[in-house]
Amino acid sequence: MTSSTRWQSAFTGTSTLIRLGLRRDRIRMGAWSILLAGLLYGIAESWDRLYPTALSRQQLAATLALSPSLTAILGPLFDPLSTGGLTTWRSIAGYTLILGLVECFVVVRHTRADEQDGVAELIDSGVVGAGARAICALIIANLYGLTFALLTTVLLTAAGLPLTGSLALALAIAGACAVFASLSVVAAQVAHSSRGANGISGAAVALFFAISAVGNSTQNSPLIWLSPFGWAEQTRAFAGQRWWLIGLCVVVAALLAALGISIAANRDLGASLIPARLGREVASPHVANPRGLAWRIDRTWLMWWLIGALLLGALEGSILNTSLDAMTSNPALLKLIESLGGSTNLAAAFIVLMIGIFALAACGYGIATILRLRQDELSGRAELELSTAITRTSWASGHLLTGYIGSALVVLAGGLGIGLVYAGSIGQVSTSVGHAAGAALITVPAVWVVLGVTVMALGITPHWSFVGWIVLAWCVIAGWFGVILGLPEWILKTSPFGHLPGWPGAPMNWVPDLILLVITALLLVSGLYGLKRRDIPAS
Amino acid sequence: MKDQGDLSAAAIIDVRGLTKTFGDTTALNGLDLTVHPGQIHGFLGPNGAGKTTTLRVVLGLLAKDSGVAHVFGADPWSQAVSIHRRLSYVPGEVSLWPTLRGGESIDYLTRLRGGADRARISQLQELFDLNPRVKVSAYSKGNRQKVALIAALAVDVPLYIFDEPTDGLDPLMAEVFREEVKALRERERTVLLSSHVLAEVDAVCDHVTIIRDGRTIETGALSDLRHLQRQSLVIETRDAVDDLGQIPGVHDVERHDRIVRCTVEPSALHDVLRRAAAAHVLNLETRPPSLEEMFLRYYDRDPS
Repeated sequence: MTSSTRWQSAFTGTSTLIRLGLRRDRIRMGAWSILLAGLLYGIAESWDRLYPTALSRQQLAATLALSPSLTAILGPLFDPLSTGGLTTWRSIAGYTLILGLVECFVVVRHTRADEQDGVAELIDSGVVGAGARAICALIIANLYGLTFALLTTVLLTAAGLPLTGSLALALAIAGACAVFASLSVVAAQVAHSSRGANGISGAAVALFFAISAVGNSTQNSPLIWLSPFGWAEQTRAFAGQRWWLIGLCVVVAALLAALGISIAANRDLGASLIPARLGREVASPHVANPRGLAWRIDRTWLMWWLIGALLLGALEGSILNTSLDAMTSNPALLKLIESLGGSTNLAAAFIVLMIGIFALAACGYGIATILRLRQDELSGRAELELSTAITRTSWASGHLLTGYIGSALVVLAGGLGIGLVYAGSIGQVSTSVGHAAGAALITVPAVWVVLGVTVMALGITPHWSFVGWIVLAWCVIAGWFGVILGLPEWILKTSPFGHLPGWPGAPMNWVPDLILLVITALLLVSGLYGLKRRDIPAS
Repeated sequence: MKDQGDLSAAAIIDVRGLTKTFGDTTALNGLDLTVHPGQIHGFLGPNGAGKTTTLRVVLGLLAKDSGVAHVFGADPWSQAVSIHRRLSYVPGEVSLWPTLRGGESIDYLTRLRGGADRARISQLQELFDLNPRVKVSAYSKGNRQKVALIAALAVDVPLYIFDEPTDGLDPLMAEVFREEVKALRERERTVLLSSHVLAEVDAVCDHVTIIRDGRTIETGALSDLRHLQRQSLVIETRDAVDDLGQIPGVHDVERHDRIVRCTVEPSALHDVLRRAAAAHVLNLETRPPSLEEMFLRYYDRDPS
């Protein structure tokens, strides 16, 4: 076949693939859209309660003007007086980040992961064009964005916000995420494995987030124009919409998509721009038991998590100092920070707040790592290992250790990143590094409880082993949106993170940490006990 | 061939009246399987008959609902590790760690089994024509199968269990595997080999257990199960052939014009071919019966 006819027929079968893909994804798609849009509705409803008067909102805006670190992370507040403006400010960066990552993983799952698992071979041998899978993945990823956008527009107008602004906010998020989805189509062509493709996409999204954060922390920085986060924020929903920025997202997304699809259509199945290399013939002597194997498999991905946490921590540490002076004199801002971090010592409160983010990320790392055990079980690798002279506990110990220790290291790396850079800028190395590292370690038991739920589900209710992700989602909602949604205290306390002492912003209390460690141990033991007693693979 | 009557030697695998259900589905319904030391034992049944489930119970991966299951005289559910020290297993669907190289996977699996001779691993890699430096994610199903086979054959243990071992292999590699099984027989190792292909079992095994719907329907030395030895014949002749059905050992005769189909025991082959030759043979096809045919003819039910 010549390359031109190959290109012309590249799209054959796309509609069939999309139907198939929607069957695989409809529940996930619905769940994400409902969760994100529903949360946004809750945020929009909260402003009249938190900042009812124009004066209180003006004070908030004045405060923010003095705090580059909050602006860096959340983006600029364009219209403090309107509920829509406040909602946009509070949500747009976080939503673009979360939905962007979701869309990236969706694209990789439908492209490189299918190829790696051999599903693609089955699909491509049917009447299906060479680029059809890439197009299908893109369309499905963007349907995530559009479903979210539609639901958001409906809910925000129902909350009494203007239609135009609601639509602009929803589409600005969906547009920026479309860029990331296209980016990950390219990443799926570059990397040889699905994990590599996920890593490249995730790193790119994080990089763009960092670029816009740095751009937002100084006035009139051109950096904001280099990032889809900046484009989404600068669309200025509810504050004189600049629709052309959504158009920019669409154009950039289309260009990147064309690049990715043309590579996909013209390469061999299973090939990649970074080819797989021949490796060692003999395994390292450490790969002689499940611990050694888990370390061999997990170390690269753990290393990237650590580097990412360290860099992000350093970024936060550097922003922290430039803004603290201006903030200490401002009571309204103090109130805002306290509502998120729960402390009166501003620097300490910020450190606790930031480490809370790393702790949630570390949960994500740990759950994904521990669930490798479930993947091993479903794929049949566990059967192969368990037919040899190892116990089930020994089999599970590999990814459990990399999951548990690795998650603690991720939080610690984030804390050290904050502490080291902040220490360098204020000249009190030992105190602030000690504070940040200590604050990180105090958080670890809460992370381990979330991982413990995953282990228990894996052992006792293996078909529900994903329940750890639901617990994590709950911790995110309770910790980050609980106060703003006006949830009662006892509900917030169902999250293990709700019990942490908040040191060094608040006095140290060892009791919660000890209790969390005991709960962790109980969850672990019950999970391992269940694993010993059940069928493998679970029926 | 080992003597089937030698029951004084304790069975290596002793399964009696085994049952196992998954929700509403009954996978095993009173299954029996006895494997004595030194046997090359074929475990034959159509897909979905319960072969893999039986092997998983024997390995202590699944808990039985009722019945007896002993391996080396011990309970596989509670004594899995000590039993596993004395066996090597290759599952039917081999999945490996995508980021590892083939050679690393072989080393890992053999180390879990207590270690293997490097020279033996290299020899097997050469025999099976496997490049151990390639990432597993780039391997075909056949190559993944080879990795598991090499890792199993490289260690010296009393018992080898193979679940559909040649399914992904090309004919040349399947032959290499059969040679390795013959070498195991010479070293008086015990082999349990599950398959849904009669010819596969016929080529290497001396004993066979045939199961269907989770139940054992026949077991014994292959030489005693005469109907397993029959050949399916299709003979086309110029003249009419005398009635072949009169010859002892000829079964299932069907006639269409000058084409005769029948199944023939080895003892009757000579007579059949002599009569056919007298009628001037134009075409002759012969093959062993498939498992499906066997089920249709001898066990009087469709296997599906």
